[in-house]
Amino acid sequence: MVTTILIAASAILVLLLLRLLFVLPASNRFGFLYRPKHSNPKLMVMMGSGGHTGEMLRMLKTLKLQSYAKRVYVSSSGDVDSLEKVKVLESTTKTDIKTMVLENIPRARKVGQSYPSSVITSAVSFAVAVKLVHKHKPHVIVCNGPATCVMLCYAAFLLRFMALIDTRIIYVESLARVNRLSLSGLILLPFCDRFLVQWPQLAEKYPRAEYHGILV
Amino acid sequence: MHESSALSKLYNWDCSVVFIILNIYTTMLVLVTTGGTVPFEALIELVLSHESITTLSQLGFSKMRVQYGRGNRHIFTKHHKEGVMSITGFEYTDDLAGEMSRAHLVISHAGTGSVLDALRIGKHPVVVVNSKLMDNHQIEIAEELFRKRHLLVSGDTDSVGFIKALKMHREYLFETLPDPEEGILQRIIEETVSFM
Repeated sequence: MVTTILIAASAILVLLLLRLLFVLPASNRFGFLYRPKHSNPKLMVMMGSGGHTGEMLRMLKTLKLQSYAKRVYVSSSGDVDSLEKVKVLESTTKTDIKTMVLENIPRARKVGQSYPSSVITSAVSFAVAVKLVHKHKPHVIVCNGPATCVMLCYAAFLLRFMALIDTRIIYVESLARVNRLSLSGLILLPFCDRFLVQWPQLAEKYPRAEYHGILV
Repeated sequence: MHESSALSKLYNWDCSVVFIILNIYTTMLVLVTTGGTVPFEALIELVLSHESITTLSQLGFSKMRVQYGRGNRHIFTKHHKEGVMSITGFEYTDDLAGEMSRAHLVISHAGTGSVLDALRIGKHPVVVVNSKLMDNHQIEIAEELFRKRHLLVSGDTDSVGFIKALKMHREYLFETLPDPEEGILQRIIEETVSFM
């Protein structure tokens, strides 16, 4: 009886591990072969506040926003400024405002907050992120930090691991990162389908990091 | 005799027209941008200081436009003195790139947006770093761009370094910042979530 349970448990563990190796972009280099095909994908963008929002807005200006069936902009709660800027951007492009959604998630870690207490706030942030990603089921998430965006990406990865959604993650490292990745970038590197850096020395240093010039 | 005087009159007239036209087209303009919201008094004070104005007019600049940021007019009027240069100020503009392209020299705060806007239209700004801001990311970007010879950097309290940068600017061998491929991020998204 015990041996049967042990065998069953280890079989499940092996299957989960195989699933992880299959889903994890870092371990499965052929993920692009069975990429989802959408003519009008749903886009989710993390507006990280401050400099992150600034860089993201400059990148959004280069996108064809009208080619996305739905655009979900996520900001951390209390960051009204980012959402206002998004509204201005959307109103200047030829997009249908009805397909734009604005969402909020609680911050994972406030500036100056201690690490032990940030575990709880991160958990809350993660739970809300899971709910949000499951609700909108975006096809692609574009983000550039900070910690709150890590929660969003982990939520998307968890749901993808469970085969509930098929979301691809594109992370753009901040221009301010010249020689080293940010902590958010470093812990998201294995989970991102595309990882874009803006200085060539970073692309040489980290595997899977791509350099295509300054994107902002 | 008569003919020659007419000719000389015509010549004189022509010269003055040419002079006026030349004057319009060769008015050397300096644009100073201090950022949208955060007041950057040290930069305004630095560019409006006697040494800076003297240096700029020696270098041939005769006009200066200062973008001083929302609600910062009092800072501008406090430091503005009538002198050899014609100096005008404005709060903010949506077309900063347009203002920059009309200028012969851009002096900018270290904000990523302003610096990149200048570089993208082919201007190599003199960047002044705000020592009061704790965000050293801006400095990191500015210094890396300086290392790659795209711009010149100076600190806001270092007026000697700033004057040196102004003097160096004309002779300095700048490198042009390569433009990213058009719509590169859109292409990467299309590759990742193929638009079939």
